[in-house]
Amino acid sequence: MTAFNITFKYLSKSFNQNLLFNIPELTIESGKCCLLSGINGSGKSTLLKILAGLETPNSVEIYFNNKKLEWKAACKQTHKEIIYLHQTPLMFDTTVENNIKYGMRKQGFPKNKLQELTNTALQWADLTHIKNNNARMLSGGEKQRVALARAYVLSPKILLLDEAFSNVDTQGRDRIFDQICKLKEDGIGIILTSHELSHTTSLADYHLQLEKTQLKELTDVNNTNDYEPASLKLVNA
Amino acid sequence: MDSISSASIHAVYLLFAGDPELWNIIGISFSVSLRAILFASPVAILLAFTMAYRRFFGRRVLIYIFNTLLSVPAVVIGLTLYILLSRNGPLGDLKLLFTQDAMIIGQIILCMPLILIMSHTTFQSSDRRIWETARTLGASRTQAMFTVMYEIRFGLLAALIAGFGRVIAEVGCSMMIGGNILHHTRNIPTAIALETSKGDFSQGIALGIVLLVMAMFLNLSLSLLQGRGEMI
Repeated sequence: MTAFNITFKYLSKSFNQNLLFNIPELTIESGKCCLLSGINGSGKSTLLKILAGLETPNSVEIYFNNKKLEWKAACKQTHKEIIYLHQTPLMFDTTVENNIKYGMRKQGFPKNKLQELTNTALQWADLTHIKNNNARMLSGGEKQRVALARAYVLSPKILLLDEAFSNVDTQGRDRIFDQICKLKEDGIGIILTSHELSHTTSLADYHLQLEKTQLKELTDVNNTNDYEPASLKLVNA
Repeated sequence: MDSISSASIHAVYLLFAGDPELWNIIGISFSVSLRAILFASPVAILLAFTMAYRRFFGRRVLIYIFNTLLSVPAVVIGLTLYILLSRNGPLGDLKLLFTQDAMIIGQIILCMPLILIMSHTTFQSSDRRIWETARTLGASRTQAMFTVMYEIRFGLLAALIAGFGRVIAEVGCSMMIGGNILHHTRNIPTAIALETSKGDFSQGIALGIVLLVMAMFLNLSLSLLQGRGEMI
C-alpha cells in the first residue's frame, strides 16, 4: 500500500456556540494506529465523523498528501479513502454477503470481481458459514466483524473505529482485536476510540486524549493520566 | 328493513354478476386514485427526505404549511379548483373541468400533504447511521438517499397506503370538479352519493362493499407492514 497522510489544520467544532474542540493540527498516516481517548461527551465520535467527512466542522484546512483541498473536494476524497465504523455498526436489512458487497457496488467495482472479493472478505472475517443470514439478526460481535469485513473489502487507507470493543464478549473482543492487527499489518492507518485501554494500548503507536476542547498527546501509550500538552504536530514520526 | 335486505342481496348479485356499469365506476375510481398516488408520491417522498435530512431556510414554514393542508376539507380543495378551472377562471383555457385529469389534480392536492407528513415523520425517526454508513462506504448522496428509503420502506409504504385510502374514498372534490358524469368521471364515492339520493340502495351498497373490502385490505396490509417493520 502506498504511503498516505491526511492533515487537518485549525479544526474546530461547536454546538450551539459551545466549543467542543479546537485542534491546531492533526495528521493521520497509513500504517499507524492511534488510540483516541477521552471522557463521554468529549467529542471523540464527532471528531471521527468529521475526519470521515460525515459531519461539517466550523473551521478546517485539509491537506491530502500535503496537497490542500477544499472541504467539498476533501469530502469526496475521504469517502473513498477513509471509512468510519460506528460503535454499534448498522447492518443493512439484507444478507451478510450483500452487506459486504454494498460498498463495492456503490463504488462501481467490476461485477466479475465482486464475488471473488466478497469471498475473500468472508474468509478473512470468518463469516462464510453465516453469509446467507440476515445481518440484522447477528450478535454484536458478529455485526462488528461484518462491519470490519465490509470496510476491509474496500481497501481503505484509514479506518476510524468508534468503540469497536464495546458490547462484545471476551472471545468476540479477541477476534476483533486480531482483525484490527491484520488491518494494521496491511498498512491501513487506524484511529480507535476505547474506554477499555488495556485491550487497545498494545495496538496503538501513539495515544491522543481529547480533554477540555484540546487534543493532547500522551507521552506514554499505556498511561492514561499522566499526559503532557501535545506539540503542534501531533503525530510521531 | 325488507327493502334494505333485498337491496343488499341485489348488491351482491350486481358485484358477482359483473354488472358493467358498476365495474366501470370501480375501474374509474381506482384508475384516477392510483394515477394521483403515482404522481404525488415521488414529489412528496423527495420533499419529505429533503425536509428531514437537510437544513434550509423556510423548512419549518414548509412543514407548518403541509401540516395545515392535512386538515383542509376535500370540498374546499374542490371549490378552489372549480374556481381556477371554470371557464372564466384563470386556468379555464386548459378545459380541464369535469375531466379525469381535474380529478387527478384534486386528489394529488389531497393526498400529497398526508404522504409528505407521514414520510417526513418516518425519515425523521429513521436511524441516521443508515445515511452515515452508506456515505462512508462510498455511496453518493443519491445512492445513500435510496438506501435510506429502502431501509425504511415499510414506513413509506404505510404513508402511500394512507394516502390512497384518503383519495379513494373522498367525495367532495371529485363531485365538484369531476361532475359525476357516468362512464367518464363517476367514481365510487360520487356514485354512492348519487344512488342514495335517488333511493336506489343496491348499487350504493355494492359500491360500499367494495370500499369496505378495500379498507379492510389496506388496514390489514398496514398492520402487516408495521409488524414487519418492527420485527427488523
